[in-house]
Order: sequence, then C-alpha cells, then structure tokens
Amino acid sequence: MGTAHETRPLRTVVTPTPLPRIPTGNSGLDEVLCGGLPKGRTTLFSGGPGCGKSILALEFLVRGAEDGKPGILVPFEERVDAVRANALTLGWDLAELEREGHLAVIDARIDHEMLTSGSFDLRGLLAIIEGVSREIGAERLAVDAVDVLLRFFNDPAREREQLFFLNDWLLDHGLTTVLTVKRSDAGDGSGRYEFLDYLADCVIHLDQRVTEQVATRRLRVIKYRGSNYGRNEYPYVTARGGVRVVPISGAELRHKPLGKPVTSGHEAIDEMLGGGYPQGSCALIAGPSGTGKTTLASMFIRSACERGDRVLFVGFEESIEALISAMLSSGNDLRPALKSHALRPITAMPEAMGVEEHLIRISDALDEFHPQHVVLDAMSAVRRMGSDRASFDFLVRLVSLCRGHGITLVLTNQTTGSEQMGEIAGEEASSLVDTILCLRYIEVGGETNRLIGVIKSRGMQHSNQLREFRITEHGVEVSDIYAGQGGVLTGAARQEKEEQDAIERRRAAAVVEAKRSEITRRRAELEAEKGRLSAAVEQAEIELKQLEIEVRKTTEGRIVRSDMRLGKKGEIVGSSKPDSE
Amino acid sequence: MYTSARVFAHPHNPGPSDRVRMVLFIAGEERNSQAARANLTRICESHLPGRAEVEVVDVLTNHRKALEHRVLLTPAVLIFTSGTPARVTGTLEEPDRVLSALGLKGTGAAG
Repeated sequence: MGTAHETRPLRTVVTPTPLPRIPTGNSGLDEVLCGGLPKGRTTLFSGGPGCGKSILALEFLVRGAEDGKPGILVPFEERVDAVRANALTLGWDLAELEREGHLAVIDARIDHEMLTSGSFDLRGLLAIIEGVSREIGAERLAVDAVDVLLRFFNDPAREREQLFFLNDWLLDHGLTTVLTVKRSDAGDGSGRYEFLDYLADCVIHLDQRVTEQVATRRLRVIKYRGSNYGRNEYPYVTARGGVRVVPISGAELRHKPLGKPVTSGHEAIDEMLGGGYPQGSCALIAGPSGTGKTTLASMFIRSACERGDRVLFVGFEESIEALISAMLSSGNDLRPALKSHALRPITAMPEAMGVEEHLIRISDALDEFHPQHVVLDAMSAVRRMGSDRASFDFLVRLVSLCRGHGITLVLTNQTTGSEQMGEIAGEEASSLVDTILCLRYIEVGGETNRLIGVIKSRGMQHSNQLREFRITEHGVEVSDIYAGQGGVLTGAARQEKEEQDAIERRRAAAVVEAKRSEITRRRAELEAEKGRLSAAVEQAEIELKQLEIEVRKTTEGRIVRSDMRLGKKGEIVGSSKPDSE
Repeated sequence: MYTSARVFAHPHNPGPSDRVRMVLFIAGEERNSQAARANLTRICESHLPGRAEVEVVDVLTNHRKALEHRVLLTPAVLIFTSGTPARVTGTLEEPDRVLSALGLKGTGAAG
C-alpha cells in the first residue's frame, strides 16, 4: 500500500521541533498522524471491545517486522497461539516473523488464581521485555490491554504509580511503544484510566457505534505532543490486511481548483452546461426512475473511455452485465471500454457493508486504478447503507476523496419527481456538488416526455433553458422545447402545436401579402386614373385654346371689318400680320 | 475465594515429611524483593523446617525463567506441589496466604 498516499502528503503546518516519527506502516493512520508514532515514546490506543485497537497495535509490529524493525507483542488477554491464529485471518504470519527473529510474542496471560500478599510491581514484565528486546534487537513494543495488568493492583494510586514506572522505563529504553486500553463510553470505570491520556505522548481513541444496524468505526487522535496531526474523526474498518483508515479530511485540506470541462458525452448537454463537467468537479444527475440518469452517466463513461481516460464505475443498483445490456438499447455500448480496461466496475449491494467498507473499497480502487473519473450509480441506494446521516457521510467523504485526487465524480440520484427542481439534490448535498443536471417527466397531451435542465453549473456560463430529452436506439437526442402561452410542450403535442403555429403563421402572412398586393393594385388604379384625368385635362386645355383662337379670330374679323367701314387702321393690325400680308 | 479454589486444585496436600519445592522470583535487590526473600525464609523456618527447597531466580539476570513461568509481577513465589504451581505475588507479608497456597492452611485468612 502507499504509493498513492506518498503523493498526498498531509502535512500542512510545520511545527518547530516535532518528535521524530516512526511510520506505523498503516498508510492511512500514518497520514492522519503526519508520518507515524512518536519515536521512542508511548502511544495509547483506547477504545471499547471489538473496536480494533489490538489489531492496529499488532499491525504496527507486523509492518515493522516486515520492514526489518523487530518488535515485541505482550498480549495480556489472549493465548499466544490464539494471537497467531487471529493474525493469520488478517493475512499476517506471525510464526514466520518470529522464526526470522523480527517478532517476539510474550505469553503474558495473568494467572487469575494467584494470591497476592504485600506489594509488588511490574519488574518481572519489564525484565522479560528487556531480555527479549536484547535478544531480537527490538525497536517496537505493543502491550495489549494494559488495563488487565493494572487491575491486579486493585488501587487507583498504585495503578498510576505503576504506569509512571512503566512509562519511565520505556523512555529509558527507547522503545516506540503502543499501549492499548479498554475504554467504554458508558462511563463505568472509563475515568479510571484517564490519567493514561496525560501520560502518553500520543493518544488515539477508537470508537465503534452502531446506528440503524450498521456499525461505523471512527478513529480520532486526541493528542500528539508537540506535533501536528489530522484532527478530525476518521472512519476505518478492520478487514484482511488490518485496519484501514480513510484520512478523508487530508484530501479536503488540499482542495484543487477545477480543471477544464470534460464532455458529458453529448454536445447539446455540454452546451447547456457551459462546456461540460469541469475535471475534478462533482456532478449530480438527478431525476425520477427511468428518466435516463444512468443513460446520461453511461454516455459520459463511453466518451471518456473513448478518449483514453479511465473511469471507475461504482454500481449500487445493478451488476455491470445488467448495466451494459440495459445501455445497449440506448446506443451506449460500454463493452469496448470494459474490454480495454478503461472502465473498471465495482458493484456491491449497499447493505452488504458499512459506509467505511464501501469507502475503503473505492479508495483502494482509486489508488490502484488511478481513474480520471468516477461514476456512482446511485446515491439514492447509498441510503441503504444505514441512516441518512450515513449516506451523507459517505457522500462527503467520497466527494472529498475524489476532489483531493482531481477526479471528476458523476453521481446519479433517484428522486421521486414531485420535488421542485432546486430541491432535487437535497439541501446538504447541493453544497457539495458543482453541477446539477436535472431530469424530469412532463405529461402533455396523453404522453410522457422527458425534460432536462441545468440547475447549477458552478463557475460556468450555463443555460437556464429546459430542453426535451429523448432516448432513442441511436442515442440521446436533445431538442428545444415549445415554450409559449400555456407552458412547455413536448413530444407529439409540441409537434402538433408547432404545425398549428406554422399554419397560423402562413395564414397571417397571406393576409399581409393580400393587403400588400391590394395596395399595389390600388396604387396602379390610382396611377391609371391620374393618367386618364390628366389626359382629359390636357384635352380640355387643347379644346380651350382652340376655342380661344376661334373667339379671337372672330373678334379680329369683326374689328377689321368695322375699321374698313370707318377707314382707320386699328392697333390690332400688327397682331394680325398674316392677315395683312 | 482464592483459598477454596486453591484447595480444590491441590487435593494432595504435602504430608509432614514431603519436601516442598518453591521458586522465588525477585528483581535484583530492590525493596519488595528483599522483603519477600526475608518473609519467605521466615515462613519456611517456622512452618516447613528442613522441608523447603527454595530456588531464587533474579528476573533481571534470568528473564527466560520468568518468561517460562509468566512471572510479570514481582516478587512472586511459585509453589510446586502437584499439578499447576500455585503462585503468591507480593512481599509475602501475610504468612497465611503462603500457607494456604501450600495447602497447609486451608481456611486461612487469605482471600
């Protein structure tokens, strides 16, 4: 384990003089501890029964032994052969490590039938540890259930005295030590070993809670003298390979800016999103059952894999085979992606394990597969891991995990369809996701159609238009919807309405055209009338002139005749030259 | 309660002439170890004259022996009668506890 973790250092604050650290070898815990346990000092693992503190203590030794750092285990409760058998179930062969001289398991079960008389102390144990330590050159020590030993002193003052004695001795001998102590949250005697917290240089509390039948385990560093450490509660699981800690908040500290948009797998949807899903962002595709959430997610997977990206598919709803065959009908063939190993599916029933186990499976796959994108189908199924709180925890951690790795996360979430668009992601989840694509049904004219809309696309210029979304055997088609009086119309109703509108438009155009030609006609008529009238006027003028000439000739004739009769020449003679010549 | 358990575990109490083998684990010369040594010597002299066979093991120099007998708390005496050795841990201030472990005082003040 660990190459991926090496590239994710947690340390953000450098303390002036930190204690040198010894890696526990548990990559998650080392990350939380900013490197490991304080070297040559005492660390306390405390927690209730079954919380995994003994396993964690043992892992500290096993990882050390594998790395050539010998260690001693002192189990006060278990027989040595039982310890070996239990370790084998975790994949650790203690007997082999013992043969190699890297590990010693001291049989330290206390004789419960012994009598006590007068005072005594831990010197026997310390002499044994010291002797064995010399034999194998031990650097590490784990004392499992130190409370069992202390109980024999049967007096808080003596217990305290012995622990100080033990701690001094450990400091003198330079062993990096882990003490485990049982602690119950019920308060029955849990205060009894509180002073252990003050004594140890590093204190880690492990806690197991059962809520709604699902066990969740959390680990928290209570103190780490003079050092920096992750201060949150970290989920962990005990499984083959030991305790797995998910240092989620480490990822949160290293928030990466979002990258370039990655195509959703459909041009028109990219357009709506303002380019696509930004690399490293979290997108949520929400909608009721059957609206095409998984289809949209599959389009994203297919286009990413075709580009050569790697996609991790986390399926909580169906097997990968079922998904692939379902997607074929919508023209999304995921088989090539699967065959080329660009697509890696991990599928599980949500209720098969707790939130932590699911997260760790995903985290493991991220470390191993290094995908650019993760697709999870569906968030709604995550609720079956336990409570709403558990599913929210899961989402927060998954988003942080992906964001820390710069991985694009596409989630689908089934909604009932009755919510308003904005409430689809849920109040809490909404702040975590960068993009929300919303699918919904609309019933118009006796048929059901799908709508798609972008509720949110952080940092992108996105469309606020709803579009019609159709799944055909050739893939997905996105088209503009009719939006006018009476709301939005889709499907056949939209087509019908569009045809009607076209007729209306044509009719209106014809009316305008008719009016326009009428005017032209009238204008032509007007021109013609004008021509006719002006011709008439002209004619009248000609006639008028003719009449005037005639009138004048008549008048002149009369004057000439009168002059001839009177014998004088009138002034008018000049004007009647032609007549006089 | 320890007393009765001890008696059940060791039905064959040592007879008047049987030798009693004991191993006293001490941790060097520290106070408790010295006290235990002195107290055990006293008990043997008064209750087991000539019959006690006491081996003293210093855990600081012989941790293997301590490991073998799981002696984590010192001082402690292991009494080998029959079966599992009986164990009394501490400075052995109260002779009755040792005697009950020896099976010599079944109803002693132990408990």
